[in-house]
Amino acid sequence: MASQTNYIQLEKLGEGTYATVFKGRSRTTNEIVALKEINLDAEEGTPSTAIREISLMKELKHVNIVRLHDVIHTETKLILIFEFCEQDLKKYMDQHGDRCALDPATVRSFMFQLLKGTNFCHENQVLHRDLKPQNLLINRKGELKLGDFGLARAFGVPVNTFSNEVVTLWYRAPDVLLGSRTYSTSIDVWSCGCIFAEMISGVPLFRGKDTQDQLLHIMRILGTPSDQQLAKMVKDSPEIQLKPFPRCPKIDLAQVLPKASPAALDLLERLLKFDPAERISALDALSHPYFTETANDMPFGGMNGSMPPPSFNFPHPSRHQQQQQRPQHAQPGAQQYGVPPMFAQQPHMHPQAHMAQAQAQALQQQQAQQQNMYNGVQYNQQQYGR
Amino acid sequence: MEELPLDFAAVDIDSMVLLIADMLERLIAHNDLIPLLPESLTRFHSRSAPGITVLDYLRRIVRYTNVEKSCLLITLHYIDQICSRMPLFTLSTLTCHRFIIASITVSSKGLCDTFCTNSLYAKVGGISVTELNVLEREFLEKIDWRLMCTRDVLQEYYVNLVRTHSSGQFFVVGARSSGGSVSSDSDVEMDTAQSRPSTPAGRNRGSTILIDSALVNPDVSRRPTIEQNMAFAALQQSQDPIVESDPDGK
Repeated sequence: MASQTNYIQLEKLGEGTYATVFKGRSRTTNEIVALKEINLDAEEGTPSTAIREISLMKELKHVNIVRLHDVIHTETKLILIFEFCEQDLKKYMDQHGDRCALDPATVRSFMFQLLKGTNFCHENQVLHRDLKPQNLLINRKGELKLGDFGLARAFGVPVNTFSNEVVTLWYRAPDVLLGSRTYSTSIDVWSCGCIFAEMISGVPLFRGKDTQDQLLHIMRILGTPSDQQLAKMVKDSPEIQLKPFPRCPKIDLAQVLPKASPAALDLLERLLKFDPAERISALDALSHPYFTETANDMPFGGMNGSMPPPSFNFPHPSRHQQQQQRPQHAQPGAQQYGVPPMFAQQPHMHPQAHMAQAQAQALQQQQAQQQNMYNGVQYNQQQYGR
Repeated sequence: MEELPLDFAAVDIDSMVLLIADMLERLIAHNDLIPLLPESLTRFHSRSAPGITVLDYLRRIVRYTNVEKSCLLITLHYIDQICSRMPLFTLSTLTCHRFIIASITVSSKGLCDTFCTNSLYAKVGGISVTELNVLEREFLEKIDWRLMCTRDVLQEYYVNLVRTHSSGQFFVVGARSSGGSVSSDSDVEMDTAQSRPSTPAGRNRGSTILIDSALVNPDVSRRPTIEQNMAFAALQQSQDPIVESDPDGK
């Protein structure tokens, strides 16, 4: 077990309800890390959120899940040492999006990574239960990683009580809003759908004020389910309480998200099924044509000139496509489909003729920044803004 | 003879407590024969034997907390895990109670959506909350925070508990309740269970969650695991004609 002196604490990155996150540097490896510091309550011992987060993340090792490196547990505090990621998706969208909306290539890359990470959790019988842009971390390589497993739980071992108070309201599935306690992996899939729409448009898709209002927001777009559909959901989850709902017609998602491609809309439709039994699984979503098609309709050109290069490295478009053309079979833990970041290839990268000069410059800049970082020089976040 | 459901999730909690207490009593009786060395003292050791039986202690926990069956059963898995990580640790009259309350506290907080406060677990367990917090920390460190487990592993512990119960009065039935033949799955289940020498946790089930026995300190085998104790009990039973442990109850 690591001791606290192994890490140099740098600036504060954020403060949550039960933890403070600092940037840190390992004295032994010089690696930049995130230090999540949790004060221990003299009465309640180790918080259950920390017990869950640590015990689950110790088992979940995947490129799209924030890696837990170490745990320091003293009498008064608990420090979790995570791999460092520069930003969360929310901040990323604020800084890099066009009025927070991301370009189609980025959306596709992030969505793929989100589903990869989510599927890995589900394969390992873990529900995340709080997927939202603030809990998805993006590093300088353009890798997206699921973080904050404080609400997560394992579903491999049968336990009778399932809390109904899970997932941040705007990303909460309708079955949970209706009171279901027998939900499963489909609740994370719903959140993925909400995040997908938000990346495309730049604004959260369903912004309710409370549980009932949230259901109304959903129904105003997806339409009120038929009595038969609702009855079926109650049959599947008898704890669901139905209240009368106004009859809303279904709106074409293309109207809500005019920027989305037909393939994107088709995937979104399958992620956002009102009835959890009809929702696509994360695994099946990964082999949806939105990811697998060669996609002439995907405006990948955005990376080459029309827009300044993003400060983060994205998977190279042509490479990305090559990857996607392979069949998307279930490969637990396989990372070859995970979008290979350019940054990782740098040590033996050949100059690619088609790489835009601007991108090359951006890479150099980032290298320089990384050097600075590793020398302990104050690291300026502003540089990542546009 | 009393018949129990094949699936541990369907068994009533009182029977579960009987099964677990019986197994722990056998384990403790065995381990109490091992002389206590100063270097094997742990935070889980009491100064003297607590004046409450394991069975009553577990019943007390069930009565005053909302403990789940899985959390009771997983205690056995945690005993195996911790014994393999701490070769000198044994579950004995002196360590059992503190170990149980720490295990229940940690598993309830880690696996369940509803659980009690540490103050309540401490009160029910008969120790101060400060001490429980220390035990909780010790427990998490010793088990390396590896609290996850699978249904299959728990099911295997359950089947073994039923099979080795000292009274031989329990048996699990698959097809029997629906009348007719006794070609139940339970026979298959038990045969396969009996032929397995290692602990459930020691085998690779293709799960990333289970620890591999190869990673565990090799000299731990000198301490009996629960599984070994169960096997020992089963052997004794099979040699003893009075206690007939035929699962079919014929």
